Amino acid sequence: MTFQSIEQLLALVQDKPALEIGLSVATSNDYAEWARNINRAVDHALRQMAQNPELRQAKGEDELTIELVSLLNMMDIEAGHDTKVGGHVDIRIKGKRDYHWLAEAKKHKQDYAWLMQGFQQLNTRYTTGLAGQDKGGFIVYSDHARIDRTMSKWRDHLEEQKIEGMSFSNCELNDLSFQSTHPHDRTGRPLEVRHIALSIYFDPKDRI
Amino acid sequence: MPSVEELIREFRERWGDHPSAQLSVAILERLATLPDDQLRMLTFISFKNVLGYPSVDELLIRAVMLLANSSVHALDAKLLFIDDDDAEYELDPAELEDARKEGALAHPVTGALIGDYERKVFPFFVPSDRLIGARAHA
Repeated sequence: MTFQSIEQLLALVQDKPALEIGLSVATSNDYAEWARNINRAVDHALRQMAQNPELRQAKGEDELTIELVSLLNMMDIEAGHDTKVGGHVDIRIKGKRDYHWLAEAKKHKQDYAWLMQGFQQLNTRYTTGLAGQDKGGFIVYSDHARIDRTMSKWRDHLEEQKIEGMSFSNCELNDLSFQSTHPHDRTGRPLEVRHIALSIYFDPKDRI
Repeated sequence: MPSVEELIREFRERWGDHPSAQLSVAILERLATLPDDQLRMLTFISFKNVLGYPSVDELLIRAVMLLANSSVHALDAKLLFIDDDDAEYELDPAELEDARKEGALAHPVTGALIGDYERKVFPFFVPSDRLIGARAHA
């Protein structure tokens, strides 16, 4: 037999979820599937970062993003930070067939206008709105309590901006995330942005 | 369309420090010279064999994945489903994704649900249009 089944390969990469996700990215034969697996990879990296909030609470936006990009690179994903694409986008992930997934990342300062500015950079500056490049992410790092409330308020704020044709849906991968879709300014094609949360809040209540 | 040498240079620029980089480059070099009939269905085992590499391990898997997944894009990954009657069907990755969600794969013809589908689905690779173009350069 010159084949190895998925089962045999998964056994080889057992307990290595990053490699399993990498295999899924490699076997993604269309952009939607590829982007979905990129989202899984981003979630996996962010879960690792969520494990030690006390070490990350004081870190700035760029430091956090560089760490995220490094974790993605370790999963063999072609991610770069501060790449020049109509400006300097925080995260650019490239794949086969010129697939792109771009993301802007902001450390939340309880200022939703600040988040909006970041979203509009992604929307109107960095993304092309072309096929194979019309899905991306908006990452919110927060060192405040209850990131679920932050994301809910951010979704409300975005909705209040009444961006033409924008609709919202819940994220099937992660209930702290949500997705917005609206016609891209340049191309009119739907731009899908997944709004992703990382809580680095740390305030243990066990001290006397 | 880049030549194979240019593909290798592009790969080294982006992934030169990767632990699997040497293996990926060795694969590219072999793919440049293999006859067409040996490129129709490349598996992890065929990569192991053409390189004379001891086993299919994490380094080899990552080396192949880099070539399929990165913007170098020398390989296209595909999936083959072989049923109990040894009939072969190429599977769309979305069908595998659905199977993962549902816990069973729908047989492409009969629609019968297959619980142990991961034993019957086999990844394989073919040269991408980029690699075919690069081979034509030589």
